[in-house]
Amino acid sequence: MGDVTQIILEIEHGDAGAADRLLPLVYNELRRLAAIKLAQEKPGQTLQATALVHDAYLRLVGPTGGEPTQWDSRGHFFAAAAEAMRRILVEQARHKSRLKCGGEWKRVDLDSACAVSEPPSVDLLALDEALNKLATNQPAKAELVKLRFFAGLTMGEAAAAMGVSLATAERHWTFARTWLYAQMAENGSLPS
Amino acid sequence: MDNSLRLEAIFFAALEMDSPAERSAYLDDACANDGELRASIEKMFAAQAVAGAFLEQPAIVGGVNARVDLAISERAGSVIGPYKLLEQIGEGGMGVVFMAEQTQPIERTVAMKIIKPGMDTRHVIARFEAERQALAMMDHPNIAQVLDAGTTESGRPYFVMELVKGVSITRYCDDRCLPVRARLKLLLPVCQAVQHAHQKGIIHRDIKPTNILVAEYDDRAVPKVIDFGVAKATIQKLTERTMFTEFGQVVGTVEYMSPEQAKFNQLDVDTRSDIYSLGVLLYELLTGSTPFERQRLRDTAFDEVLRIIREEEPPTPSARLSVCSSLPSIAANRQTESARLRKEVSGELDWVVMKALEKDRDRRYDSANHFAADIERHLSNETVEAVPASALYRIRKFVRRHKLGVAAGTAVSAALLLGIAGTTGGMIWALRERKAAQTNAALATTQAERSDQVARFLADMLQGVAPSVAIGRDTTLLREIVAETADRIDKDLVDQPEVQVALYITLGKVYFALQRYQEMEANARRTLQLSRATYGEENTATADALVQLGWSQLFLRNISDGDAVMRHAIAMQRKVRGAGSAEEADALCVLSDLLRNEWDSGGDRRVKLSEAESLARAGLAIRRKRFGNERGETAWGLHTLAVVLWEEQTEGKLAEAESTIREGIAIRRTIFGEEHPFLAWDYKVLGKILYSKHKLNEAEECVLKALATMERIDGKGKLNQMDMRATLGQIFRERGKLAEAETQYREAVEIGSKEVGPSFLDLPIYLTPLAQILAEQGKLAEARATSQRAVDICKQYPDRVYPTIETNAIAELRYIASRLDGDQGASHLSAAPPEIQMPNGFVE
Repeated sequence: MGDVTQIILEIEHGDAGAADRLLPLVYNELRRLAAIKLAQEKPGQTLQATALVHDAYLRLVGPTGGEPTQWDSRGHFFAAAAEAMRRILVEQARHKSRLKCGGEWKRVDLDSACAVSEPPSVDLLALDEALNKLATNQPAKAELVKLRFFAGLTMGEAAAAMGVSLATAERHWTFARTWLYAQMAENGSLPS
Repeated sequence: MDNSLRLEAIFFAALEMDSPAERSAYLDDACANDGELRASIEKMFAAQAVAGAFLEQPAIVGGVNARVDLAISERAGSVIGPYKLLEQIGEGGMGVVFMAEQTQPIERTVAMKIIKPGMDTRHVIARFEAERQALAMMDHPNIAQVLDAGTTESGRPYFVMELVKGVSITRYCDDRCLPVRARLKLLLPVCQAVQHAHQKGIIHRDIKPTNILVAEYDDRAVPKVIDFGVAKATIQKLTERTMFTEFGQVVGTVEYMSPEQAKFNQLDVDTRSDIYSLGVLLYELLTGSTPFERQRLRDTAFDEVLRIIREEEPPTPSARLSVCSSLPSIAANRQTESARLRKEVSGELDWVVMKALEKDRDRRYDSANHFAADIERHLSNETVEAVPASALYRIRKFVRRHKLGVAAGTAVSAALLLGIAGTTGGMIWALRERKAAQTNAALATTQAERSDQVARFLADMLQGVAPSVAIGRDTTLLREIVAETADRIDKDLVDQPEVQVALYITLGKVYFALQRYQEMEANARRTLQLSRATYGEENTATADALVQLGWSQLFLRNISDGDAVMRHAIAMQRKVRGAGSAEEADALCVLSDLLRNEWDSGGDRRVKLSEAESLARAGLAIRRKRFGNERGETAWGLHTLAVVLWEEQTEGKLAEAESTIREGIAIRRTIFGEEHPFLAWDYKVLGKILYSKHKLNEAEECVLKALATMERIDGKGKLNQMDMRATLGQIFRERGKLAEAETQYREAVEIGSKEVGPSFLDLPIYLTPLAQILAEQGKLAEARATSQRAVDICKQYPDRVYPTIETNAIAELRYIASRLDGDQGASHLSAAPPEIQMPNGFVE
């Protein structure tokens, strides 16, 4: 049995610390996959987080036909994947912002600047911060946002992963999006 | 924005309103006094209007330099402060370990552990810091030292450690084909390191071979414990939030995980969990495999794996070796051959390992130092603390709980120790004989199961007794337990005769310890019958049963029967076990004792004594060979020989007797300390020897010492003190202290009468001298009565009393009578012999 499935079972048994082990595995895999895929594409190419996450799932857990995994087991995986993806993106954003500020990365091999302009994206650092705030009082909603935005799950998938009804998930989503938007607007982090 | 639940409720309610006016009115009401709340809601609605498809599109990874972003991290060549990274040498959950070159303030190669990119959340950093602190708190030659700490340019923490250039301890031992003893010695500093950590309040929680590297410094192998990555400082708290959660404790590696770690209640893990892991390590060093095989665990569903760790008893190391298909190569890695390795591991090393691996952590070694101490004891051929079965542990506990006399408890413990050890070994023969056709695998499993079963059975019996005993009736309770045990063995195990036989033999030793010789005999006969039925005539089980039977006869004073049985037993032991077995030694010594109490038709004991001497010598020789010169068994052999030599009473023999018993005393002192019945018996014998050599002062000293010890242990007036008192009486008499001598002999007689019965077969031995002493003091009437009693008893047991004793008794009576009545002092026998009283006591 794979390490990841093992850990998922641990989580299901209520082991508080097991998620800790899952995250690095998923994180590593996502990074690896992303790096591979990006290497194969033209510079400036983008990847859908969704695709990456599902890919990682296949590699780490196996096709659904194999292990008799429930959706809530997959839920653990995707929760970890969402968190991992978030970190990767935040890391990336941080790094970019440092570069912009003339940080001290002496040993970075910079690709020659690309002509392709960056696609518009959400200010990830601001979102990250706002999400942290949301998570303080409304952890479930924050979790839903992570699953939907960072792991790319559909509403239905996310609801199943969290073990709530679709209606509840929709409600969470409505509130969370609005709240986050409002929060970020207040901090001036939204694109005009 | 706060009070989010209220916010949420109002938000959704307001959302349902159709018109802005309606909404406004509702909000006025709902947010009546809370301006802040109203403001928040308004912001939400403002956002809601323009949010559009915000977040609807999942995140994308990409953009300029995406490749670069993802690839950036510390790698070979990176410089961090005064350190230059050379190459990555390891990776864990939280961090990556590099070999690095330090340039300032000194030049050396070190190990650097850096938090992985993306892992630098508050909590992970806190854990990383905890690990660093844990390591920094320790200062031990066998723990990798922390040298420095800091943060990288990207703000990620790192710490610098001593670089250990070595391989894992298991690999080191295999690479160099270290023999078992060398491996044990290598483990000692590891234990010390763990002890050091424990004393600092750190539990390692992930002790395994890859975390113990062995490096060579100046040609010496130095093991070093590394990676306290999952170490838990005992003061740290767990935090737990939702299922998708904050990070708590990391569980260790599955094969080395202790049962309590496999329980998810991490708060329950303490230093003894590390002891368990050390046990697994020792297991692996001895057998080349972990108690639960890696492959098996890999192939099993995870929660089943945890259940196995929590509940299943692993095979002992020697049992594991027996089923191992690669045993020859494992033995080769330990510079020995298969059979030798198995032998070396079985017995004490088995016990030590299994004690560390106990499921119940109260039964493990309670500190790494104790564990190490037992290993050291094994290395220096002393007896180890670890005992093989739950039974002995429970007995000890039982003894303590009910404040049983130490001798009873010790004797039972000792008997059971012998028993259980014998039983475990015994199970092997049982199964081998019965299921000769079975494969090794099945054999070893059943072996392990059975010995465990036996041990558990006894343990259950002893544990299941209700603790309602008045002090002073201790032995009664024990006897009740034993009776019930016998009953249970009879009934519950009726379809497992092999187990029954083994248990009966153990039970026999318990009877012996309790000095219940009649029950011992009955038990021995039953065992014999059963073993004959189960195994046939000539086999180890029957041989052992015969030894017990003969032994019981010695104490029942059925000397000639005992002689025949014992000779048969010895011949059979030699045949089924080969010459020189421990059981043969037992039988030889018992036969020697029997012969000491025999005489031939001419009443001459010299021939018998000489044979007794050869037997005792042979028994001792075997014991010396098997057990070395420092073990209890050898001391016992010395005792037997010393007694024979003393009985022979020639100058040369007495000298040898003295040196022999002194050697035995030295051994027993070392093993038992000063307060022990075995030691007391030795002192008594020494006293007799010294008396025979006319060293009366020393003799008196010895016997007094023996007596005092026995009284302290057992209480006054016990049967094992009878002979001591008599000896003391003898000494006093020789010194002319008649009154004191009289007291002692009286006491001896009193003990005998009370403990066994007024017609105890041995009493004439003391009654006659008492009569003489009384006569010498002029107390003739009482002297006659005493003497008469002696004669009466002799007549009760025709041919069972040693002739000289009988003739002495009769002669004495005649003499006294003659002094009293002139020539009419014919002794006359009592009318009908009273009921024969069998001894149930131990007389040397």
